[in-house]
Amino acid sequence: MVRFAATRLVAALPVLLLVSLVSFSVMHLIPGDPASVIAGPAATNQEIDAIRQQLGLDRPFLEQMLAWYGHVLQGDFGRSILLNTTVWQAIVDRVPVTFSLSVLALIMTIVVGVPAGVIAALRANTAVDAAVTGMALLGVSVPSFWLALMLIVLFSVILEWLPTGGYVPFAESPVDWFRSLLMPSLSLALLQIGLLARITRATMLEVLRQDYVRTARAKGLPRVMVIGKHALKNVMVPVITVIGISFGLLLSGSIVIETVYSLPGIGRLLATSIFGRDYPVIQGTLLLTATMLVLLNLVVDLLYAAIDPRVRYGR
Amino acid sequence: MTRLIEIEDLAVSFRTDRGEVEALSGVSLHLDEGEVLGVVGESGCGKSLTALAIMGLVPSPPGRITRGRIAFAGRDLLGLDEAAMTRIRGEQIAMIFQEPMSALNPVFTVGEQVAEVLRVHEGLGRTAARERAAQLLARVGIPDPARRLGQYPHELSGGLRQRVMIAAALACRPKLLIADEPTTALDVTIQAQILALLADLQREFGMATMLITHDLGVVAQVVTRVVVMYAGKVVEEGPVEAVFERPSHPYTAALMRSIPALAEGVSRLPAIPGTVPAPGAWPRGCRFAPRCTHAVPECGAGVPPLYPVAPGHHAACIRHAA
Ligand SMILES: Nc1ncnc2c1ncn2[C@@H]1O[C@H](COP(=O)(O)OP(=O)(O)OP(=O)(O)O)[C@@H](O)[C@H]1O
Ligand SMILES: [Mg+2]
Repeated sequence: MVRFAATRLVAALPVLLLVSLVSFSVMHLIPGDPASVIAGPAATNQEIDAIRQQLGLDRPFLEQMLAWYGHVLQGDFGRSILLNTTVWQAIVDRVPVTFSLSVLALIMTIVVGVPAGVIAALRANTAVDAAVTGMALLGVSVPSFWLALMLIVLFSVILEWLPTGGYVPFAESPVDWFRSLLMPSLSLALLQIGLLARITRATMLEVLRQDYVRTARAKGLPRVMVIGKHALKNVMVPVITVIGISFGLLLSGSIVIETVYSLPGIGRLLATSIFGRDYPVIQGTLLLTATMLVLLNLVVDLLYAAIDPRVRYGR
Repeated sequence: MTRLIEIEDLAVSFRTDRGEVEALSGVSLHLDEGEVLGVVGESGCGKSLTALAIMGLVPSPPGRITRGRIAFAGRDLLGLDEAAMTRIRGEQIAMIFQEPMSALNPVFTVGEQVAEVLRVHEGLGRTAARERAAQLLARVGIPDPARRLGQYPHELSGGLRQRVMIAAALACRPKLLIADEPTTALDVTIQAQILALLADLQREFGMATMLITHDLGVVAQVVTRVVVMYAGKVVEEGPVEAVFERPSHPYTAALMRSIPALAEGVSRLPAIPGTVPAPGAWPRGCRFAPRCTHAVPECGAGVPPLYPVAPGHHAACIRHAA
């Protein structure tokens, strides 16, 4: 298992390199001259040159890149152009918000999606199945920003149960923290719940047809064991992968949701820095979230191996 | 000897896109305590389905038992609810399958898959069940059982996996073991070993065994009585010597002629011209008539019942009508 983890980690290195290259190149890939964009339309040539020099854009590409890598490896992601802080600090301040949001949404996704899929499979082609599949389809089809707005209208404006937006740190008040994240995480989760329920249902139907399920029944195991032990563990093998992908999507989905609910998270940071052409922040956010996703993938691989022995032994 | 299993007029239908199709139509057979019964017939004749019906495991939907009776030690199995049937399965009636590859769960250790039977049916604790599982693995001829317990199915050869299946099936010393083509998926040398093991365990445990196979050669070696099935019906049944000396249904005779080919390993398929008609496409009257060299116009008149040929020996062919 340790060897498996080590090989996976090594395999992730080229991906990280590629990710960092892309992050660095953002400055050069986005059309237009960053210096003049940052300086604004009214700037003089001298001002633009000064900014160019400050960003090191006047030096050769390779030199710029090596310098950037040098800084990044020391944990220095530069300073934000718009915010009066370092990129690192800007990100660190916002991580708890996005993390809380994603984890809450992930928990909702798993707690609702997996059981819904299992129940639909066990009651395949009945009214229950039709209801679950229909709801799942609805969840997949409804755009999350629209759902977010509708939830605000219903729960904040009409019923006045929940705040329309804003974030309360967990340390300040766990209850208000939860209330501030309930609608955002639900808006984020609904699509994922739909996806996960459908995939769980399909996988469960497939697994229920397998010979080993018949063997489990032939051995006289009670139904809860046949389903909850023998079938479910096999269902979890592909479902774990999907959950990993879901979590990645949750992170990117947070750009929209954090904007709608005015949550000060990574997603909104990225959105504002893109609109404001805050290149260092864009670079840093991309690099850190991409690294997070690569690590997340690693965790998924390890979970996968923990469930399925065939993966562990390299088959 | 006392009756262990008595099946009367068992019929099973499947719902398909061509409508409701009968796959077993009126199967009757019986099995005494401690007896070894061979069930033979080509692919698709309904052998597995008969076994699954005894286990209460006919896939449903689309399958459904439409009529008949299955008595096990005097109890009517078809009238039992799922909970009662679950207690019988694995405890009193056990079954092993053709594909040891797919019949074991890939994500649990083989030790767990044997031990759980003991935990569920005999209420053993984890350690006790594990110990018993190790003993069982040793008994079915698995070397180094303590180490094997912790291994996963994909780490074992096909022969070893089938031994694990046998260990799990025999864990609670069932009164009846159903072995559905237990050796078909294995290498020839391993086949002989597994058959020898089954025969050995049968003698030791004294359990009745229903051995399903399309191989009459296997039947000759291990069973005491044979049931020959064709297209969802029993066409001949009797003591193994009687059936081999005097095959009384042309289908049995044709199967027997195909044994030499099997022994030489030329082909696993009996060399009878034509194929078994699919359920729903059965001819009127005797279902074997279209492939039968003795067929006469009367064969199409009605489905022939089992006529007595000798005491305990019956064949469903109008040539034996009194
Ligand atoms: N799930 C199912 N759906 C529809 N028809 C089925 C199903 N299972 C079995 N049947 C039908 O029942 C018939 C008998 O099948 P069964 O598996 O009992 O054959 P068998 O004698 O065991 O053959 P084999 O030697 O190939 O195992 C088959 O012809 C098949 O068409
Ligand atoms: Mg079969």
